[in-house]
Amino acid sequence: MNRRQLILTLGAGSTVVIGAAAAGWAWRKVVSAAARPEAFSASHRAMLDALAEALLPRTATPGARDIGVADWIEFVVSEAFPADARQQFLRGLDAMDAVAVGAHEAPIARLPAGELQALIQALDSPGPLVAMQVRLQGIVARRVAADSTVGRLAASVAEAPRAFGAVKELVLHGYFTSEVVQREIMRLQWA
Amino acid sequence: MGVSGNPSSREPNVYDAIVVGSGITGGWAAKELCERGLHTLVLEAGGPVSPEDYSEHVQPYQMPFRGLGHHAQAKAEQPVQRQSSGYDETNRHFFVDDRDHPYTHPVDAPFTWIRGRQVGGRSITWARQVYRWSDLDFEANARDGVGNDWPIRYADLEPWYAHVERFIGVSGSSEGLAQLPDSEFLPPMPLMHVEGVLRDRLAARYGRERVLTVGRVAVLTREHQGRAACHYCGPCHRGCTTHSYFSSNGSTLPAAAATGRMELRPHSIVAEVLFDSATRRASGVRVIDAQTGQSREYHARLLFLCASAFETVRLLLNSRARDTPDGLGNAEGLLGRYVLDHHYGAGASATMPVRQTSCFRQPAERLLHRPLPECPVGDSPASCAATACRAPRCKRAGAAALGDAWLRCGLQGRATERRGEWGVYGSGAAEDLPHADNRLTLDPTVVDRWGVPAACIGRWRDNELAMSRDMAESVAEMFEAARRSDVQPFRYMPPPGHCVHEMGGARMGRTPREGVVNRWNQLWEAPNVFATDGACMASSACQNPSLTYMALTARAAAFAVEALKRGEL
Repeated sequence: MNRRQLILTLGAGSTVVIGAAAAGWAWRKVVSAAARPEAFSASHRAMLDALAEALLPRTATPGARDIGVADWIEFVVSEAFPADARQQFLRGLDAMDAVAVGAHEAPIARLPAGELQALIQALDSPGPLVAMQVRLQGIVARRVAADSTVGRLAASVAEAPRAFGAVKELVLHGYFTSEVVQREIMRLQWA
Repeated sequence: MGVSGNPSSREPNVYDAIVVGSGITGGWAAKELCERGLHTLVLEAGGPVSPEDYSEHVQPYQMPFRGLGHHAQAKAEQPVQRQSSGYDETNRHFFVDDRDHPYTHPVDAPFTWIRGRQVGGRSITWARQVYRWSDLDFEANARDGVGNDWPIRYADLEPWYAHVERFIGVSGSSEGLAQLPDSEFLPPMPLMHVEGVLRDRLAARYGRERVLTVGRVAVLTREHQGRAACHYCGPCHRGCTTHSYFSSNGSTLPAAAATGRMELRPHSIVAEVLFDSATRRASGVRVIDAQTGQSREYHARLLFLCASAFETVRLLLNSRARDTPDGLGNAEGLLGRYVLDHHYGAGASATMPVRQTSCFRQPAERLLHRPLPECPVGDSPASCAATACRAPRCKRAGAAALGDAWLRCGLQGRATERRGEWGVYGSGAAEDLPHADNRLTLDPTVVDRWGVPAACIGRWRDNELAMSRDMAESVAEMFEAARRSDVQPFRYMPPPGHCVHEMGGARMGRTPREGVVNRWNQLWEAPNVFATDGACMASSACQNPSLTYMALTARAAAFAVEALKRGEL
């Protein structure tokens, strides 16, 4: 199936907006139609899902989970990213999880809401990357000061902010370009 | 009546005129030559384009990758083309496959050559911005002593600007600015409220010195020449099924075809201009069929080269014969020299709390124009003093420029109730000064898929770097003056070519020693050959150049047909 056929398939299948499920269905159709490498582990999926929902939680409007944002990210990364970029993305996820474990003794997918928000704030704070890394190092060090893994965490601490930036960008893009958000929330009616 | 009489009596492969290229200038040459009675062959290197190739109404959620595209595929097949701001998931077929179209550049001087080979060329993906030049631009080389004096002035082009504008349709607002003469405008698109606030605050601070006005675009705000008004769907660069912006496909080529005198041949790569040393005229062209690889010749009394600036220069360099060993038009060694682009990317961003609850897409940018030449603060005082660095233009001040309003607006406030904090940015596009060593040559070892020697392209200078710094500072200063918060200057300076305003290489000059073409775009060395695309440019000014190319083409066509009728060609 080539690109144009994919678009036609989607166009035909998404003429009516039913709700959050419809958008998920539409791209899942694409996923199932395309042979793609299995890139993400279950823990990667759970982590992306948790991050996406934390960034864009359900309120009066659908959250990232309702929209299926994490699944779309997996599709894009596994299907369209060059191998080196895909590997870098996955290493970034692992780095963020390593920081989470170092700081809170739990992977991102199992962090309580408050700790996840704290971690996101640390990863997402404005200012120079170095300053962010220093702050992260501080968070990690407080928790595992006596632990010999701190040294090994340094690489993850260095990597995590950039990795978070990449995830955040994809989460926002996936959310705001979804049919539900475009048509029902933002009420964009072009063409 | 055709100059050659009844077309049916013509010899095969012989025409009154041949136009190389069907993009913005090729389309204009075809229209003008056909309407003036010439049986014209239009040769396009790429394939035909049909309405199914346009994708402007495909919504983000209808694309598998939501507009991000297939990174791996783009990286492998179009590593250069994908750098274009107009390239996206649905329109990559309007950009060449880089594997088939190699070019080279010095290792330390990257050049981004964005190309579209199809009927209509880059007129499908262009930014549609159209601005007249003024005498500040045509006199700049002479005034500064940089480059050669243009042999023409605004008065030479003014009627042709008007001629072109009346046909293509230009929406915009008359401002009476000396440095940016008004076009014959269709009604302007309205400014958004936040933009109106910015305009008023700038006016209060700068008066007429710095004026914010709506971008002048070849986009119809009402029905014009049988084409529908724009319906503001947004992503113009994917093509327009209603032809509401100007493209060759929707405007000039249909006009040429309507005369019954145009023959359009896609998949026809012009490999060389054939030169007859006895008559000192071009006799025709050698064409490679892009699909079969076979060569054939076409002949005509008149040739218009409109292949795009660098393709035209490459074609002339590749037109080597006994009498033109270094390429046709290169007797003085000028061919390929003084190539130019605009540099852009520096500016500033800011936020502005203005309550506006609607957001919409418009295909017009906003234009902030700083009129007077000023010497930017930079580390190259010598070049500043010598050249009086030409005025950078600051554009894209709008909160809703081009097709990204949907995302921008979405990011401003998650849901409708929180809209009202607008992100704005302004960035400049500015002049690149002519240097003999900024040069396009043929690479002696690299050929394209069809065996045609590839181009090798060269670099930026101190003056451009100084201007880039100045643009960032100027926009930041204007935003500060407009009482915006969080003003952040930025400086992004992509390599030459990125602006897709490449020009020069067969510049216009008063004598054969000064230019490759004369004031009528006519090759000094072969008077029946006219190069009317960007190749003829002797300086770049800072305006988007397509309108000037169109005016030059129409003017040259009128001259050529009269000269042909007088038997002078």
